[in-house]
Amino acid sequence: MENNEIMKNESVTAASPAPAAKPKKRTMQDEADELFALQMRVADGAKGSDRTVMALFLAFIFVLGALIFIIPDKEFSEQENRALQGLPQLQSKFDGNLIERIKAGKFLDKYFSGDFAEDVGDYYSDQFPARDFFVGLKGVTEIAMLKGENNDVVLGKDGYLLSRMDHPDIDNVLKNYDASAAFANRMAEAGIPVTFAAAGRVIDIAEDKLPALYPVDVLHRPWDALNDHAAQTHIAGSADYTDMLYLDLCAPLKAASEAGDDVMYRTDHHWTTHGAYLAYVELMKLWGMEALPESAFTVEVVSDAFYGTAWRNAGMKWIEPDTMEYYRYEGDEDFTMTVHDDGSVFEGFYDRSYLEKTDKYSSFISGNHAYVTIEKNGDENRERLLLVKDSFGHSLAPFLAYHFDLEIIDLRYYKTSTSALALETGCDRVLLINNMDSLTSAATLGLLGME
Amino acid sequence: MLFSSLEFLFAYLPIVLLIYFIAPVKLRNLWILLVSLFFYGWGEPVYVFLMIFTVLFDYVCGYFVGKYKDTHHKRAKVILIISVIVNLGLLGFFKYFDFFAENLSKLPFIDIPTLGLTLPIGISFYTFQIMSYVIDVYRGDARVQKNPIVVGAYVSLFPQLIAGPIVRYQDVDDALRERHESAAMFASGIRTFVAGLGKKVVFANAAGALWDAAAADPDRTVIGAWIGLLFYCFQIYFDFSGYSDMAIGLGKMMGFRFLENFNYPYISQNITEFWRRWHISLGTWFREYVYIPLGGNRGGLFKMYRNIFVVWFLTGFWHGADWNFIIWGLYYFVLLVVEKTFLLERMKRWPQVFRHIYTLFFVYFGWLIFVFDDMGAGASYLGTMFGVGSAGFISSSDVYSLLHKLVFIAILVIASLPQPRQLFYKFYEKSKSFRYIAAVGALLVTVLVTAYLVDSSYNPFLYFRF
Repeated sequence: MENNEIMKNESVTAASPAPAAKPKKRTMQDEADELFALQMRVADGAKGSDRTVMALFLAFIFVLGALIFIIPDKEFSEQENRALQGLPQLQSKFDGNLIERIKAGKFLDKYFSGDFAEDVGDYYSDQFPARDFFVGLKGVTEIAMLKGENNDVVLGKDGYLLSRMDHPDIDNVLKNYDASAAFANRMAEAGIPVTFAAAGRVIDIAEDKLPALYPVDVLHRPWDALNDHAAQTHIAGSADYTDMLYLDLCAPLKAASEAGDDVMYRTDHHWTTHGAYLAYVELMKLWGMEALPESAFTVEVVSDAFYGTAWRNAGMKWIEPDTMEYYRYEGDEDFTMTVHDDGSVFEGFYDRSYLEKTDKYSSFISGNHAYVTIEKNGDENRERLLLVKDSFGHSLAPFLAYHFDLEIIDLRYYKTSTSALALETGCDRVLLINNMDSLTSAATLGLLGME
Repeated sequence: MLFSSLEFLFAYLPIVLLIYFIAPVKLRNLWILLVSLFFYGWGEPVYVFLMIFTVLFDYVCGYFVGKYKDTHHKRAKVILIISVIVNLGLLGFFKYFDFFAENLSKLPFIDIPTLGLTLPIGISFYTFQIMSYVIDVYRGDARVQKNPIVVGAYVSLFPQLIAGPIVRYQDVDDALRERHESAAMFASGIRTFVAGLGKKVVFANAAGALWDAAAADPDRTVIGAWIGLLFYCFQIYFDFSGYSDMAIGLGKMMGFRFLENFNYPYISQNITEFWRRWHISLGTWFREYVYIPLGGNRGGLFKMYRNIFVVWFLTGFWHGADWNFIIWGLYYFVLLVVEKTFLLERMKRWPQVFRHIYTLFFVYFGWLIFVFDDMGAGASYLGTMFGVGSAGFISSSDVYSLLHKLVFIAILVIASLPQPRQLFYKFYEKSKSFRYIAAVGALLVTVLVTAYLVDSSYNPFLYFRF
């Protein structure tokens, strides 16, 4: 074992063909030793700054660590609209003494299953003190590194926050369209015309607010595919012919936006009430009916502090909030809106309790529900419209209600037959309205096929 | 538990440090053992029993090896062999059983069902560590440890438990018996820990997200593929070296000195040098406990190449139970043998920049082999890098995203070089006010890391296959 020493200085990788007389090469060990010696030298020579770094670091982790427990837990996040993780439990609830608990396999069961660890992780990120400050700090840092975006929200011009939509699933768009066309063909037998309207995402409409060189071709792809496909299905004699009415709401709103109208919220993913009004005008034009002129409405500013979904994701706290408006018209309170999910009833189209909350857009027809009806009081003979919609339909509904009694369903939650509803309630017309994000992200409209 | 998590930074670490320094010196190893087991059992508590078994088993083996090695050499050797077999057996069972079952079942008449066991986290790291204890005792490089708590503390030592560095027993033997925690060590430990934390959370996670996006992009272009893999190179380096720095820093806080695990590998001028700078503790382990015992470079050229082959086959396989890791190891075997036989000599005449390009080129493609355990996916990624199956050469998305990542890439490149640290210590030695600026800087990095952790959905752990 004498040559063990020699062996030790040799490395598997570095055993060069031994140029014998060379001065001894510095090894990684030497470098590590030097670094450590240097670290100790500077540390010893700087008592005051050593104390400073220890005090700052330890104070930070101890104080915040304690604050998590001192500050009362929040149960619900207004901003994210979800329940927050409460104090994690080591074992599930059980009535009985320890022995019985062990016998039942409930002793520290959440710890052993790993659920406890998971809950602790959620608890810390949900209940972290000064969460908003930290979220904002990350946003600032990402922008300072010139990344131009944070959490997939692009910082655009004029205070626009645009959620990225990178890999649109065009298959889903076409599936949604085809399912709608099949539904329209069945409805046609009952003499009920169906309209398929596609609304633009903020990033489609406010394209001119995107930073230079933003890859807009990706954004155009689903639109090109949808418009081509729709045109195809309207050629007389084509195999998949349908007489479903098709309306591209992106192009006209984009034109209005480029002309300087505030069609979309800068901080949210929805259209503004003005944008919804323009969509309403387009629809009425398509149906050969007369839309109310914009002058017929009184604009009521209901909030000048609307922080939308994009704002909440972006962490760019310096961006100014949006203003939210209602387009009021005479007699718009003489309507009864019934939310069938929970049986609640409103006068008019607005649930103003949401204006006190973060999620202000939900004040339109009281937010996301499976099934809502809106009827004009004391007028039984109006045309009835079935509105199958995503949330873009919410701010559109008040305009449509001027002309129609509305059956409103959301296929993300409404899981029974749409055609049955249309026939049973005696609808005269169906409008399917979704924004491109809904159309690309899931084939939800496939549910229209339900008998 | 991950170091880069809020619960570690704001609950585990403060409590561990507080009690560690309140506790009498005698009880500190016991405290380390307890909190390390807790750390280990976080999320997968069952395997704590595996850890406890390993500790007790090797404690007993080490004890008897130490007892007999001078008097009954043969007995000591038998015990050593049993210990090695059991340790490797456990590693083999938990990590490699399914791999062998799957591949052997492809042969006729053989059908072994796979078990689908979760890999005990860090098993590859701590198995190598505990083996070094018994072997070091056998070789006389370390004294027997009579106290099982100390053996337990050594094996389960939470700073390096799950992602290294692999600490050899002989390197911490003294520190385990008696160590001198000091303010100097503690402050230096904070600086190292915070640097590692920043590397992991601010650099590696962001680079990793970009790599994942490139790997999943159905419209990947040639340029997009090259840039994507570049981000993986940054991710794996900053992630892994960040973890090592955090481990080293935490060790220092408690009075341990672990050796550096990474030494700016991407500045290497040849592959041989790269492997002296990358995951140093693993290379050291294989040299000490495999290459040299096999005879090293004694016994002729054939034996030497055989030994190098064994080491690199095992190095590859150690990184994961899949073919791509084996191929990755053998890829380096070939490169290293080529360098050893003639290329290193010849390269001395090359301009330095060529040597860098050569090294980075092969390291870069090495990561491509490494990252895809589905080799079909790896091949198709490689294809898109050369225009096969790609969506064109460059897209508007590439231009935009490259433009917005330029500063980030520049930061990553600079952070891969040794100069920033050299400058840091230069100023640190010279200027008193800089020391205070640096102290505030460490706090700011911690605050920034906290921000990234509070607002993050992407915080991967890359070593669950190791």
